Amino acid sequence: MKLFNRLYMMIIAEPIDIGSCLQRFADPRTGACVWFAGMVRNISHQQNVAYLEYEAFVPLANTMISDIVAQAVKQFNLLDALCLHRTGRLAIGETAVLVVTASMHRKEAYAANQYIIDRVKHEAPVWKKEYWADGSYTWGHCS
Amino acid sequence: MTDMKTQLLHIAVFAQLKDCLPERFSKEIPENISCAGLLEMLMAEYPDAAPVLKLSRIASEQEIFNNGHLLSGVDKVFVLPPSSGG
Repeated sequence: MKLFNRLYMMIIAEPIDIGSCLQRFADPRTGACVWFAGMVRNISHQQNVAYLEYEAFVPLANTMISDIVAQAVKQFNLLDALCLHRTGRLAIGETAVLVVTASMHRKEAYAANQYIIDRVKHEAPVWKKEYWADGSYTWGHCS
Repeated sequence: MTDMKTQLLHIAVFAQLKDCLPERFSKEIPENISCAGLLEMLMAEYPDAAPVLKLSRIASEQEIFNNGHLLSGVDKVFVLPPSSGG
């Protein structure tokens, strides 16, 4: 039995449309579909955030995220998975990263989703620059 | 006295390293220098960036090298500070 249709991962400079991304998860074998969106919040380290900028080393980031998603599909027997990460300037409330995982049962979909986002945050060559309300900035640290 | 063979290496840096180093530059390095050796050279040359360079990784467009990887014959590397995506 073929366990998954296709993988999808990408570093993108355009806004992430969560609804459009979810439309592809239409495999009739799917019993659970989990999505996680990392959003830009207005407070960080007790300071007011004006906006964020994300920078990525795109060719390597795409390769690494692809490998992470492929590993998750294999390890958690997923039917399908997707991971998108933004670059460029993001306003408060925008989606910085989206991870969608689909499987026959919820346990695998949840676990795989967390596995993907944790590894992408810690390993993929992507960097966050937080601009504060006073115009200064701080390079982000992985948390 | 021995002649130390050198090679020209093109270097690109990212994120906070751009605050202390040129974003793209070229440097003569000893042949057979390791990634750890290159980072040490950069730390000596750019002490303000040393705390970040100490945690950085050297990569090609395809892979991240381990610290002992030798750069002989490599003409371009990327210096990656710790990730902070998500």
